Amino acid sequence: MTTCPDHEALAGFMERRLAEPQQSEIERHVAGCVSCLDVLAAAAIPAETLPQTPVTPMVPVRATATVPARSWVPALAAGLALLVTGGVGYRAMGVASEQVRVTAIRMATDRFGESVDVEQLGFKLGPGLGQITVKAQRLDLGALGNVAAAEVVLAPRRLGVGRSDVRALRLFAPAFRWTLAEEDPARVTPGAALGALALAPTVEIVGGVLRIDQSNGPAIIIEDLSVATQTIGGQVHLRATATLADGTLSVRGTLDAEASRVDLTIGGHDLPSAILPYVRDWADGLTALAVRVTGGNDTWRWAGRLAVADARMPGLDLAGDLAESLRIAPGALSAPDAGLADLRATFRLDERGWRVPRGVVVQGALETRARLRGAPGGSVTGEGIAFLPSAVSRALIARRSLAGVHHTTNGRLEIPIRLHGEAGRMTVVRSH
Amino acid sequence: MSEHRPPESEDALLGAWRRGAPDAMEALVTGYRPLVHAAIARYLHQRCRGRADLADDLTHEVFLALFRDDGARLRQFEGRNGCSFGGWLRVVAVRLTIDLLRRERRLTSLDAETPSMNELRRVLVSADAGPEEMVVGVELSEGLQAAVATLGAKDRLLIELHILRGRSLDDVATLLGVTMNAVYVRKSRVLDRLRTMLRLSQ
Repeated sequence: MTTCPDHEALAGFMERRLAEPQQSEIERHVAGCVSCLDVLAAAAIPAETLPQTPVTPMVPVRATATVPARSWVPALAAGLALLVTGGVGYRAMGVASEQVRVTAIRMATDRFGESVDVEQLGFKLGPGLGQITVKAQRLDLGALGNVAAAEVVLAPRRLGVGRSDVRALRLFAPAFRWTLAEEDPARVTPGAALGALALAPTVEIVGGVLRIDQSNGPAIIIEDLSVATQTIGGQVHLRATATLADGTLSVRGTLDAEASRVDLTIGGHDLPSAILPYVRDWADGLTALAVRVTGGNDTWRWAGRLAVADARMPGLDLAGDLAESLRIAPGALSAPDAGLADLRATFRLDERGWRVPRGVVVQGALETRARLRGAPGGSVTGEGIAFLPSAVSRALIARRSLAGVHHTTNGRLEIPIRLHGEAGRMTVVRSH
Repeated sequence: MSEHRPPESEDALLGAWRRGAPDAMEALVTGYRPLVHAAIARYLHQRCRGRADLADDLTHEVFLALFRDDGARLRQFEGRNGCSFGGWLRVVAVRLTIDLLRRERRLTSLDAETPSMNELRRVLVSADAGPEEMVVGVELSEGLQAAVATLGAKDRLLIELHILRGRSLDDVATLLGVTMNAVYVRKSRVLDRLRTMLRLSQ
């Protein structure tokens, strides 16, 4: 593929201003270039389709202020009040849709134990009984990092009388770092986290790094955290994406604080490396995980689906009791020397099987029992489709019946087989 | 294609901004903001369904990027090949938008039509489709892709812009420099050809 044309050449092509040879040359390039096609499809806009929205004039105002505050939202509201009483805001109040911008403001917060520098604050008053939008850019939070931009939407007539004043809170904070210590659970509890998410009917946080220090294992670092919530009635609707180790996880679902119920779907791609050693032995090419957690009042269930890299396979369904499963998971994920002391998986096959690259897809019922060193065991059962690597699949392709799989963690895979009605055993040794 | 022109001549406005006229920057933003906003909104509609709320912020960031470093990027406009400032600005706005979204990873929304999100949705609902249907779907998609790749540049632009990206036939005709009748005939002929190629490949 040829190099993409520069801005002026692509604009000239779009407006058919180029000489014929150059027009044809760019036409040939664009027809095969997804990136240029995207630009062209969006940028080629006839004038008559342009939106007729009124242009909001910007009124540059310079001011510096120091505002003591206990948290962000009142601080921003206080900044607005300061602006209004200072005589600057009246000009903005008088004209609907007008914006006012302050170049620097400094707020001392005891929440973070240090001052917060805001380089730029903007206030926009909506028309009529609309709302006030406070925008801040480049918030320097000291050791916590920076928030590139923040936006708070306030209800003007109830300013300063409770959290219902805040209609929406949006943070764009790629450099924000938040560290939680397991030894200090009072600092952040699930309830407090829920409360923070329900701070406003709309909360959106894009970017940020969350580090959780564990007392008995390595720190869990979650990067590129992105969270959005919508609170409707007593329910918080949540969607979030995060990068954990080398895998991306996504979460969406509903948190019902009043009924103490949670319904979450957790999806993962390119599974975190911490999990892979435990599943690669029997599911080569595993690439995605989706888990749904439901329950409340001490009864919690999870059900999930594992998918392999080959797009032709729908994946493997799994389900279990959350409390029982969690007794296994934390140690396996955190303790560096932890491992499965025993894992037994039995797979009852149906008749169907599909040949795919690197192995075969089989359908049946799976029951897995696992035990960690020094920890109680748990089990997982499921109905679904599994991928078996080629070493195992050869037995199937030769039309032998596979009665079950016995898998131990010493690198040996023992497979009882039945050949022409007679029982036998096949052993696969994993090579490192 | 009819070209959007702000009320003031763009040459005069750019010249005033280059000379440092106090109101020129505001006039540029005022005059061209709808143009930039519309291009960004259309890109978000095409590629990031459900994220139309980003258009305002991205418009703001595009103008900031243009004026940063004493307007270094804005000064790159020379009007070569007779291209208009408005056309150049739309191209720059969309390319900057793509860069900004990629850098800030705003594209990884659960509502986005990204491969990873599509894969997740497929995983979550995959009980509905068996492996055979998936194989057929993948093969059909690959066949169609291969067939489109064999088309000439104009035919391929027609398919990519009209069928795959939803631009109207009127817009495509303008872009290709042909009449509406011609583009109708071309569309019918190309679709026939793709059907034939897909039948032959099966």
